[in-house]
Amino acid sequence: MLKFILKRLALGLAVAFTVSLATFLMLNLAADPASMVAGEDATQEAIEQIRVQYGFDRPLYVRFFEWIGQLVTGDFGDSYYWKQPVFDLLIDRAPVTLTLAAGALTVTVVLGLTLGVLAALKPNGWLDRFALSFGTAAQAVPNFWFGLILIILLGVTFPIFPVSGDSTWMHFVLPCFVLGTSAVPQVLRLTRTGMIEVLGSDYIRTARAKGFRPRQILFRHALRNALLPIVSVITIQIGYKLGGSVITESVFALNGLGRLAYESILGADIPTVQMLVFFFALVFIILSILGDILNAWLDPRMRVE
Amino acid sequence: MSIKSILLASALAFSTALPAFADKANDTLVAAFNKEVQTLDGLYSTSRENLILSYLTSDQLVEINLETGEYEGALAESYTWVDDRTIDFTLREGLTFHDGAPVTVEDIVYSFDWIADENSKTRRGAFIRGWFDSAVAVDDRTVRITAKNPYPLMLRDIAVFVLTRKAGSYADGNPDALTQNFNGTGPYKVVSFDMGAGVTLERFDGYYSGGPKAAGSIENIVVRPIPDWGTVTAELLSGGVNWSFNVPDDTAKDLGNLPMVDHTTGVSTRVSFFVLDAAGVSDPEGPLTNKLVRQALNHAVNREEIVEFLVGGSGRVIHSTCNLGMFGCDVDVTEYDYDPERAKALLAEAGYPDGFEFELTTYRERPIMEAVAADLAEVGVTAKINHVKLSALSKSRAEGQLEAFQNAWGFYATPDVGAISNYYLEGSNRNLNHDAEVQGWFKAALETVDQDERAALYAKALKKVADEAYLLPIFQYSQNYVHSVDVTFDAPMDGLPRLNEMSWK
Repeated sequence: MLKFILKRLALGLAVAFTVSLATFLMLNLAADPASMVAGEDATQEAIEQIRVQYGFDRPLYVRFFEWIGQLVTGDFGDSYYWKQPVFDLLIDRAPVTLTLAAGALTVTVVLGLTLGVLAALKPNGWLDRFALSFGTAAQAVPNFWFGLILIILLGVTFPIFPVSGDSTWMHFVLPCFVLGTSAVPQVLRLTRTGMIEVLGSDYIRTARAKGFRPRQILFRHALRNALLPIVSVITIQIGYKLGGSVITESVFALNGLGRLAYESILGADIPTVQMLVFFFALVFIILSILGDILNAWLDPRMRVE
Repeated sequence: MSIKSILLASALAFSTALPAFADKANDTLVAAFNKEVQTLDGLYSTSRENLILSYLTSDQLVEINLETGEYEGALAESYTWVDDRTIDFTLREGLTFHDGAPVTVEDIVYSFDWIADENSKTRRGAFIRGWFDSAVAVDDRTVRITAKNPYPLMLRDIAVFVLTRKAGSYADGNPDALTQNFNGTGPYKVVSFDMGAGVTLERFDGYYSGGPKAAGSIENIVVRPIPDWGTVTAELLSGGVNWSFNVPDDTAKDLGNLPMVDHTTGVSTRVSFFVLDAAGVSDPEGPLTNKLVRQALNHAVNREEIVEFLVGGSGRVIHSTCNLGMFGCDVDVTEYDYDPERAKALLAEAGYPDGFEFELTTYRERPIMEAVAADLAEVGVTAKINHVKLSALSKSRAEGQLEAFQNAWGFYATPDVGAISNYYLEGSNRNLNHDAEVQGWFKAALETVDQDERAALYAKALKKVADEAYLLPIFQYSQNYVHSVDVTFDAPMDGLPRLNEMSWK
């Protein structure tokens, strides 16, 4: 098991390095970073001044390894655009994104599991059809469109929730619902499939024969076993929730990491974009490793493979 | 817990969680900006959002009167030209910063010196370093500004780029000192700034009267960054936002049809045009080095239709790269009307009867660029659109690789043709005509303070630019504003909205 974990960690580090190198090259080679920072009407003198000021005149490899060196020592550098240490920006914005991700995950799990279990109780029944239709629709609808529809319906026509901002918990209701709903189909289908399989197994039949009540059979015996594959899916969904926050935070004007990424890209803020991409990648890598380890722990065959 | 108590608790929670609305009762105007304000210090950002904010929180010695084009004393009660490179400014009495400290000549001197200092790394320094020589306190109300050489745009530069800062504001040379905590002299003072959440301003009751800038009418202004236009629309409809700018044309038109929203259009100082490689920088034998070819391209583009169907609002066709009413904008230049047959004839005369292919590098308004390419295709010219980010365009331009490129120039929102000189001056990589006469006229215009002489020099230069078709001017941008019907708002003539002039109906 230890060998397996070490192997996964080494792979994760290699991916993190590749991601940071690719990000660095894309941000620095695709365009002139000094012009990007200087803006549209900047004079040539202003562009050259910025080139020297931010060190864009130095060789690319020097800047890359300097950035890696800083990263290793915990120095995330300073933002050109926000005039603040990047670390402070991340710490400042992370609570909003984490709240959004936690809320969205709750929506995903609660809706996905409930609809999945209900659908499995009577396959091909009307409830099953409804759940699958809901799942298909939730998967097909783009986040930004669904967000705007909810804003118009529940923020303007029936002004129950605030339209944008993040100053109260009410501000998180609509964005959490939007971000959470998109992942419901995955959890719903896995739960449904798992439950149908488990409910048809011998030990469930035995439990029924022994006279257990349906609720006991459903929650104590069936759901517990059907949940196992869903756990690793949910682990990965945490990463998707963080990554998916870019659009949701922009639509609802939430002041989190997603919008920081959006604004930093527009503002050509290379240090912040670099660090955000690295951060999101790192979250994905860690969650993938956790998922692998969890699966390996649950299923010894994977360790051998 | 009974159902009744659960409902009561829920209702209480909902009522405390709902946000305060922007309205007349609270005397609070909420302005939605499409981009975030990243610093309160206008010396370190030239974004449009920051220019709007700086207008509210900072003052300069002089301010332009948009009606007359004259510069009027702002912090300065009056000014006198001592000679063609020296101006004496006399400060008004009783001026104060937002923190209550008096505005002194030392503050003015400090502001000039700080902005001009290369180490201060301000975004405005580059504009004044070329001419600024010294700022000296003559007495306790008079400050003398001297230029290295006669420079006609001194007042323009002072009005636009030299924002007044309290002496010692940037302690220990720290350029970020005012990023979060700002102390200025404008009609509004900063109450709070939460990056990402926005800025809260309060009317500055100590603001001087009798100046060119209006004191605030509305007590509070809240600036909120909302990146999505759909969300801005919803906020306008639900009363969460009162005003926004830079709104896409279709969105603004739709909103203007609603009973609770007004749509106002105004001109922007920004103009869109193509720079053609007449000098052969990218290719000495390229087709664009031929005057007839450049003239043909000018005849081939249907500017009227582009403006009518794609620009909309207050946009207008231009034949010279400047705005009507701008000093030096001589509009009596050769106009290339839309005439595809004439374009084909000119191409044949130039030796390209079957047209040719060239790369057109663009970075804005892709649909308009596609329309231009379609017009050119009608006369047999294939314009391969290379639509890139501005920074990529700048990189290629600096390397001399561009056959033709789009540009959208904003003139720093100042009404003087001199602000676009870098498309005509020697040594600038934006200049692809390398015409010694045009270069000389623009240079001379930037070195004389005689207004008539300057106007004549600009006229000669712009006329030759049009005759030679060095550029392909397309249109002047329109600016769309939307606001709730309970506030007054007039579209500005220079594209810089002044929220201090807004009031409740």
